[in-house]
Amino acid sequence: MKKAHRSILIVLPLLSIMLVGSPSLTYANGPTFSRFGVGDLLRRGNSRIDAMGGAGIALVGDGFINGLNPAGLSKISLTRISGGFEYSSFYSNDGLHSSRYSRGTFEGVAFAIPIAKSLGITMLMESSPLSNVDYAIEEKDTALTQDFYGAGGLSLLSIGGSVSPLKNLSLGLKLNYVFGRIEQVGKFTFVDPSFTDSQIDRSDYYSGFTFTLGSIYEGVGDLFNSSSLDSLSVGFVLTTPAVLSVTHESILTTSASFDTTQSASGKVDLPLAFGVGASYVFADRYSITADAFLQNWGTAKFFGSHPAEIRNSTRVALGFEAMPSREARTFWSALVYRAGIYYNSTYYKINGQPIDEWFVTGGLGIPIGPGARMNVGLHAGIRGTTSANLQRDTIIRLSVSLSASEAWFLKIEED
Amino acid sequence: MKQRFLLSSILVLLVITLIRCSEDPNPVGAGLLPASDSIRLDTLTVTATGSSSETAIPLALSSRILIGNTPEMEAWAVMRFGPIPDSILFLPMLSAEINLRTVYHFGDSLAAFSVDVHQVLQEWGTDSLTIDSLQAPGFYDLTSLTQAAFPSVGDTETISIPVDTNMVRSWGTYSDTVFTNYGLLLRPTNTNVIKGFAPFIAADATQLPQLLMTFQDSAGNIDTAIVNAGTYRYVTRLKNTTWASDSVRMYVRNGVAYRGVVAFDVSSIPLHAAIHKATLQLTLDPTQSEFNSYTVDSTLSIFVTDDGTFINSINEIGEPQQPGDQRIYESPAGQFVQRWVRGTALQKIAIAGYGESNAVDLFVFYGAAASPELKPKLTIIYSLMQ
Repeated sequence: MKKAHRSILIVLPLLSIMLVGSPSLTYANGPTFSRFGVGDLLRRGNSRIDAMGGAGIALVGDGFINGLNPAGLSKISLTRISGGFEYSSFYSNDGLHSSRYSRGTFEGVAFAIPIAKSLGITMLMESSPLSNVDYAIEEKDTALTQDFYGAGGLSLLSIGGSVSPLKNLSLGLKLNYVFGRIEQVGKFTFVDPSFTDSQIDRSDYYSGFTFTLGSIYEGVGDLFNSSSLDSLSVGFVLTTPAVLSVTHESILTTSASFDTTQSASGKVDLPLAFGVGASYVFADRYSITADAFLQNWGTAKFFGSHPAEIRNSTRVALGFEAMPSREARTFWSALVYRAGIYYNSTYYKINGQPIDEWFVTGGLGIPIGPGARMNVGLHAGIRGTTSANLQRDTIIRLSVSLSASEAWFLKIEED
Repeated sequence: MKQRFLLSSILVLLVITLIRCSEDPNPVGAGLLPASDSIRLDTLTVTATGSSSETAIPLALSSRILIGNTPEMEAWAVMRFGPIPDSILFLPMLSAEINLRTVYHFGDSLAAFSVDVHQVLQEWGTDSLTIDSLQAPGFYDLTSLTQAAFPSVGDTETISIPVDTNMVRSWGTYSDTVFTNYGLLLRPTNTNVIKGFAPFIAADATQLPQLLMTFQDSAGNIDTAIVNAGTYRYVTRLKNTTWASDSVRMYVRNGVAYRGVVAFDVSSIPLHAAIHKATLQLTLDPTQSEFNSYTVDSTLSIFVTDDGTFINSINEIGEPQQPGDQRIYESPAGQFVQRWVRGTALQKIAIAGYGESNAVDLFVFYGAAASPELKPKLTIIYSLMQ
């Protein structure tokens, strides 16, 4: 099994470099919403948290890397790595037409290395997608076919860590490098062959830094002198706003010319984001988590002006997890069962209509060795509405991730 | 075992959901796109701000050798036959003649045709010869070798013009290392017709120009030798050059590479616009134009650079349309306008007849000073995407 762990530890970083760092863009297909802002925002804790509706700001523990809150790393005792893949299926309907899309995305990879267990000091290195743009739309009439493509998205490279300065208090900090390319293409093909077709290719190259600060407090019972609250923990996380530098380039291509029509630099706001969460463990096996997360997109400016299609976003989530009993001997009883629900008031507001989404989630944690687990999550939900000339997406996401630990960088006491 | 079952189930689920998915663009969600993403076509119609007629570069290789005179122009030709075979070097040459096959005429088809043959004394090139250099002192021997006259020549006849055998002998043979064959000048002496003859590049071998020589061998037998390869060039000159002062009309004369030039101002089109279609319309003045049954009734629009050079390789063909009483030549002009929008300062198009190298037709179009409905017009359909 140790060999398997080592393979994971080698393969996942390589995948990370290949998939997150790859500059090439391909056009697949997907719902139109990602045309706006910086695309569909991806908020991933890890697959354990995702299977619990994405509620995990207050989760702290040894067996996973908390991607939402760096303070959640303070109890990691062995070097841990996790990474995963998500497959998404969309059924989109705009009242007149419908279509089915699918896409696979790399969920990222994270390393957590404990430095001083007694002080809760753990170092984190992480690579993950922040947003995704992926759409392909065709408008056709008797004279002209207009195809619109979008691809790319933003990614994060993070480095940070946790510390526990006080008993029951964990603090965390991450420095995030935000980068990526978003490409939008319009291709115009005329029916009349005497017309010259054209294609406009707009690319925005983003870069900037943010900080994520987090805390988790596990001493609520002590604070209120209530033993029933001993297993309650609360968490808080905040990501600082950033002004991303953006280089914009537009290239117009016709059969007679190739012209860079615009090459400019600008700024795009990545606004303040913060969330609060709570986690309560009962009967030693069951935990309930709840989160609320807000991001102040309502005043964010893109190249100096606020897009009408962007608003503040709010996400509330509730999750449940059943851990196996200590006496579990059978395969099924050794599984971890998870479920959740979340409501996301997304940052999209198209044609004056807010775009919201509801999801139910579920998942399993499958033990594949000592300290290693394969997490499988399934999300099902709807986004949007067919009113106001919009579209409703029925979304199913299947995620598979691996989380494993290894006794690296630890001093072994000798007799 | 159970682990394998679970993993297999996950994989099967994955495969099932992967299939039946759209990869091509489709109309779902098109209503979400902002209007600014879609193309918006604008149309601009401008009339010419200027027009003129200008002499262009010497004509390129022609599919006809034009010789003759009309009241308006003259066409002279030079021809150089290839080397004579060595095998006849020492045989007595009894006679020599050139045979030319007619394939074209312009002017009075029944008019008499005559030509004087002179020996050329200097080297010349097919791509640089002009009528001025051809008529310069010393280019050819002013004493004609032959004066050939024909009362009338049809368009499918072969005419024979005797030439001096000593001159042909002086051209040498294949093996000669000293080059002395500069060819013949065919100077027209008629007045009312220009004839066109098949050149050395004619597809039909029976129509090739011939140098036909007769010899007598040592046994007294008469033999002939034919040379039908060589180089050629015709050059023309207008006798009346008052056209340049006519701003109401624009003259396009084939044969002399006398081209029209029409100027526009499209500065109102935004920089970086995409030109989807542009159409140049030129209205013909049929009363001034001169066509015949050989006329290729099309024009060639040619891009003009900032320094006024005509770029022949950037061209579009104009075809005649007949809306009502007017005859309008329409030509695509999108590639020209696209270049102008990208920063070409001189927004001009040169107009040539499609048969410019092979005929002497005259297209007379209304120019920039004509009444508004007759002026050259450019209709441009464009979009601005950034």
